[in-house]
Amino acid sequence: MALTKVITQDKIEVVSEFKHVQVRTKTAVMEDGVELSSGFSRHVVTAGDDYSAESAEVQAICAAVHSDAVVAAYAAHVAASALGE
Amino acid sequence: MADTTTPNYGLTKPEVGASEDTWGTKINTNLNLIDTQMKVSDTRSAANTTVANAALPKAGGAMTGAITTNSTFDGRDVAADGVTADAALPRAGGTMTGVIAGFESTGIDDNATSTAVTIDASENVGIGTSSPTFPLHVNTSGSTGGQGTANTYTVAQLQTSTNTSGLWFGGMSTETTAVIGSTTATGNIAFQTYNSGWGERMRIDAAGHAIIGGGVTLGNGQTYAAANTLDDYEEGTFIPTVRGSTNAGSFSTDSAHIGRYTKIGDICSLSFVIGGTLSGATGSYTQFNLPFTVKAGTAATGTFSYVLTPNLNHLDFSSYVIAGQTLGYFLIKTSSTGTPVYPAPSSFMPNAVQIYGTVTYTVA
Repeated sequence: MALTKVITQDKIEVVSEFKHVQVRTKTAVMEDGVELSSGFSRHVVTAGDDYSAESAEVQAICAAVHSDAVVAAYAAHVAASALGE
Repeated sequence: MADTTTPNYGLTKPEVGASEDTWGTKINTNLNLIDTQMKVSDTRSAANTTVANAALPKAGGAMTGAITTNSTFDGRDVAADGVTADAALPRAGGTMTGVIAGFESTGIDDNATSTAVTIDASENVGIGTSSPTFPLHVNTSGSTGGQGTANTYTVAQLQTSTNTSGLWFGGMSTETTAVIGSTTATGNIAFQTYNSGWGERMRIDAAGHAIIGGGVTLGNGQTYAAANTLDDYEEGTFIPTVRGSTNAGSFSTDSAHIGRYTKIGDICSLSFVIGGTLSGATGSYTQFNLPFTVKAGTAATGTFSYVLTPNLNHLDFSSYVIAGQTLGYFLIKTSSTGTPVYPAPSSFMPNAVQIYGTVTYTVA
């Protein structure tokens, strides 16, 4: 009857035209292979963000979708939606 | 040579060439015996009034031809029965073979004399009722002490012999509530439907969790409609950080720092405490990160109930999220009549900040 903590990125989504990479990390407590409980934690890697600290899988996805064009488009989008001051 | 006798009745055959003085007596004795036996045979034939007996071999041989009778055989009226099946039915033991045609019965008895199963003329089968209303009608008080809680009566059980998984059906004795249960102590109940292939659509696990893969349609009768369907629910945590719009800088969190989200459909509600120290951030705006992308064509504002930012003089503190982005923007009012402004990252540095807030927005 061994308890183990298993952390996985169980859902990685590429969302919107700006290819935001939404990462869901699942932390599960397992007993002899049976999940007793679990919880989710999320973060988003936005086009233009530094993703060097991400998992290899997320890095691969970001490298594939965060092209220069996408990064530029998102930067333009942010600039276009500039807030009044 | 002495007298001899016939093999069946022992009639005396007088010795040839002898018995000159006795043959007459011997012949008369023989005639008397013959007379007696003929009388017995004649009496027996008259009493039987049939000729069939003579044709029936006592043992061995094969009877041919039809037997016509109106008498009883083994206590039964053979002629009235008029069937041939009886001959194939063993009285006890043995194996019945062949087809029973025209069999009629109103039910099946138990091992005593009571009817256990009723089958009516409409082929309705009743167990516990002699008047079944449905193709299978079970109407019994059930039994307790087996399946279900203490006040549950089990009426029927269907299970596999492979691992005893299956369903039982019953009701509660303390209320008019039907009960369906799993036959195994740790069993789940799964529901499968066919849609170009079988698939599990819903499950109630042993711990009581209802897991519905396709979502729940509410308020649209029996028809699925995406707009009426709750097909996504998620709760979790995220790490909210403060950052500059040009250079994000770095944010060192403290022990109070926490972010939680609850996503229902495409609506996400955040509650968080941003606690820590921002450094190296630049830009016109100060932002905080979100766990989901903001849906296109939408925007939302958030509220902050408590803000501790030593360098930021404000009366009101709120936030703004913009379509297509993954960041929120801090927004402040410095006077009761003034226009809200977006504080620069320098307002959040160099001292530690604590910001308690909530934001609800639509997720892409």
